[in-house]
Parts: sequence; structure tokens; C-alpha cells
Amino acid sequence: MPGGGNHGFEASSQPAPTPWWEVAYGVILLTSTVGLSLIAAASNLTALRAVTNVGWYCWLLLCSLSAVGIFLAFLVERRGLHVPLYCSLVLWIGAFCGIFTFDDAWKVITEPAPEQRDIPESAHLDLRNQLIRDTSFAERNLRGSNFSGATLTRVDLSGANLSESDLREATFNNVDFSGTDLCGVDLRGADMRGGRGLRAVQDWSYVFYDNRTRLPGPVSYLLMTRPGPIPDNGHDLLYMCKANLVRRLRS
Amino acid sequence: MIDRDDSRVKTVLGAMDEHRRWLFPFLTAFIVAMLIGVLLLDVTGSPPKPLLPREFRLIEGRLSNLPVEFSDIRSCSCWHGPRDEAQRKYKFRIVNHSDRVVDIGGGVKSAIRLIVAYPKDRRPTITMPAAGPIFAEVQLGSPADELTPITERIINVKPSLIRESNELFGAPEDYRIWALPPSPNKVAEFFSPTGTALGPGPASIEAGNPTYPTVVDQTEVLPGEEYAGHKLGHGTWSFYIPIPHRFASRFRDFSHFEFEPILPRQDYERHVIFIGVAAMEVSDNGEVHLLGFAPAPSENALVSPRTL
Repeated sequence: MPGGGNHGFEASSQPAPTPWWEVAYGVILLTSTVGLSLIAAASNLTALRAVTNVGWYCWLLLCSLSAVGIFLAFLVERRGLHVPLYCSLVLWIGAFCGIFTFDDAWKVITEPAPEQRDIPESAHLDLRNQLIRDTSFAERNLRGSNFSGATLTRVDLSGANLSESDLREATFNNVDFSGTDLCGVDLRGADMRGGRGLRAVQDWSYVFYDNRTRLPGPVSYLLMTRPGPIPDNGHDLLYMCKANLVRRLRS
Repeated sequence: MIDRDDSRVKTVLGAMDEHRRWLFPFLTAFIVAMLIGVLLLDVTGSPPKPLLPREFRLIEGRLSNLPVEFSDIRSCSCWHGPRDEAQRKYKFRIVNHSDRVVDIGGGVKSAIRLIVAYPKDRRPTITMPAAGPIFAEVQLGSPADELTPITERIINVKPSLIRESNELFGAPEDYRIWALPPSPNKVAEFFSPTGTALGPGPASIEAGNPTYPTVVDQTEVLPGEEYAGHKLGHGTWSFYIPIPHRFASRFRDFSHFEFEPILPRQDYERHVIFIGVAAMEVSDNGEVHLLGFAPAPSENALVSPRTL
């Protein structure tokens, strides 16, 4: 065989038998690196696909090929063949370059899933122009209800969710608002002078009001200074009480 | 089975031995060439993302259920600023449900924009600090836990005009919608509230007032990732909003105070309407997509910029 000599394959008088695990190791190494590359390229792991690019795959391929090369070199040396030092060095450098794929992959692997915010179910009451007396809606979810033109007397709204409700022209007499969620409520023309616990309202954000809206004198400053209420200035109000759900109140 | 494998390996090794005079140099050259190729690709292979064009029309006709989610949005009641501009600070949580990496840092490369409406006859130009050079690092109080780099270099930035979107954003007909970029990340400047020139370098720190920097600790959000800065002064985007000179002059004396005047909406909306915060992206074919949107919270609020 050409290329024999001291380092040649035939030079070994008793070539070591090839253990089955060496072959298995090589096959597993080759198929797993190629397989992982293909999976990464074709998978629906959107995060991985987003952070990876041609450069990332090239680093992975370089590392994979070098790893296979190192395995072959190891196999060759066990058979008594000599692998030049420069070749081994380059193969190890190539394999080491796999470290450049770690950063992006680590980011994706350790990424915590974003917090899910479910939209609670609610009862959309339609109580337009009704007279409502001696009733308790405490802690009830009345999101998106319609109380426009209604008159509420001795009603307990404490802790209730009235977000995105229509309270236009409604009148409140002895109504408890402590802990009430008023996000995105349309208060234009509402008379809340009979409201109690208005300082303790849970959420005033995007409350739409106008110059006809009335609050009890001592707390009327809430409409101007509290973060939340927005006066009608002749154009639509965009509001958002749940993430990614933008709605509008027509002016 | 083992014998058959053994003989195959021997055949492979025999072939390697036969061709080893060129095999090892070839393998080495191949790996080296690949290494150089990948290095070159890394250096030259990531083209910068295109910036928002000066004028565009949004492809999307909706503001809900967009791939980038904003929530917990707050802003300060702040009107003072340099060169007839109001500085407005926003703080929010952002979640990326898209399949792309979104740049949420500061400056014009950021996907984040403040959407405002100006009267039709106004074409705003922003002046804001450049990302460098930095001549000092100063403790500003917000953020309180790190020094803020200070620059003297000011750049002009043209905001983008969003055509045919008044109905979408609920703005009056006689206004036009503009997208303003945030100031560069973690850079501030010192300015004179009266508009007089400050001395160079450290002298300006002695005589001037600092601006509020954008402070984003994580400038990219990966798909499925969220970002919110819970510490004081972190996770805040600062926008420079050009306002008319006479209107701006009302706030010159307020830069030292914790709170600024609460203006009636009908008063300031003659000059500027705050619509909301958005994330936008330019696709490969040049179309601009709205990735996310949140309406502006109330501007009538006693919220000090130093507490965000």
C-alpha cells in the first residue's frame, strides 16, 4: 500500500480491532450534528429561527465538521496513522468555534415565557335609562355594561369591574365606588356628586369626561390631576384596558 | 456484525492512508477557508435594518391584536426641554409575540415611536443628543444606580409622516400624524433652560440642566420575550417633542421643579396631540408595518419624570 512506512496503516503488525462503540460513536456524532442543524433550520422554533442567521448556521456547520474530523483523526491515530499537528490544531480550532453559537442558543433556551393575561369573562348588563335602587354589584365583573341615562340610588359598586362601561348621563346617589375599576369608562355628562369612595377608585385610566361631568366638590380635582381621566376635546379617545386591545370612544 | 464494521473501517483507513499526502492538507485548508468565510460573513453579512422612511402609509388598518404587545404604559407631566422641545418620558412593558427580533433601544434605529399629531401646517424637526462622543458620566438621579454618559453633540432628526391615518388614530382632519423616535439609549445632554449658550464640556454640567435619557437595559426583544424596567429610571423611553417657541417659553422656569403645570387638554392640543406609543418595522420591500400600539395615557397627571 502506498504511503506505508512507520506511520502507515499496514505498518502495524497487530492492528487493533475496531470496537463497535467507536463506530457507533462516530455514527451518532455525525447524525446528531447534522440532524440538529437540520432541525434548527426547519423547525418551528420561531425564537431560534429569529436569532439565527446564515452566520450562525455556518458556525454550527464548521463546528460539526471539525468535530467529525477530530473523531476521524482519533480513529486514525488508534490505527497507527499519524495526523499532522497543524491539521489537528485547525480541527480543534474549528470545533472550538461552536462557542459562537452558544450565546444566541442560550438566550432562547433560558427565555422565560411571557406572562399570559387572560381576559376575564364579564356580564354585559344593559341598564340604559333604568332606575336602580338598593342593589349590590360589589365585586361583580360588569365590564362593558351600559348604564347610560340610568339613575342609581343606594347601589354598592365597591370592588366591581366597570371598565369600558357606558355611564354617560348616568346619575349616582349614595353609590359606593371604592375599589371600582373605571378604566375606559365613558363618564361624559355623568353626575357623580352622590358617589362615595371616589378617592379609592382602583383605576381611573382612560376615563373619558367632559365639562358636564360632575364629581363631589372635594374630589373634583381628580379629573384634572389624577393620572387617568382624559377630557373630551373634540376627537376620538383611543384607550386600552387590556393589553393589545385598543378601543375607541367617539367624540 | 463487528467484523463487517471492522473491515469497513479498515477500508476507509486504507483509503485515507493512500491519499494522506493531500488529504490532511486539503482538510486543513477546507476548515481554514470555512473559518475565514464565516468570519467575513459575520463582519459583512448582517446588513443594517432599513430606517423608517420620511413619509409612509401604514399597511395595517387596526390597532389591536398586533404582534408586539404594550401594557402598563405611563408618562410624565413634563413640558420643559432644550431648543423649544418638550421632553416626554414613557415607561411601559413590551412583549414580542412576533417571529422577529425587535429593536427597542433608543435612537432612529429603534422600532419604538411616539405617535403624535401636529397641525397640518407644521413640519417638525427634532434635535437630540447624539450617541457620542461622551465627555463625562454623571449621576442624574433617574436612573439612580448608574452613571449617565453626557454628550455635547446634537443631531437633527426628521420625524416620519404617516399618511392617511387620521381616522385610524382618531386625530382631527386638520392635523397630520407623525412618528417621533426616542432619544439615543443611555445618553443625556446638559442644556440651558433660557436658551443661552453653555460653556464647553464640564462647564455645561455646572451651568445647565440635564435632559432625561432613554434607559433601556435590553435593546432587543426576541420572539416570545418581554421587557420592562422595574427599577427607577430603567425601562424608560424619552422623546423630544418640538413645540412652538411661545408655547415652550412658558415652561422655562419649571426645569428645576419636581412637578410641572397641568395644562388643560384644549390648551396644548392646539399645538400637539399625543396619540400613543408604537412599534414599527420596515419590511424588505419597503412597506412599513405597525407591530404594536398603545394609546397615550392621560397627559393631565401629576407624575414627575424623576419618579418614572
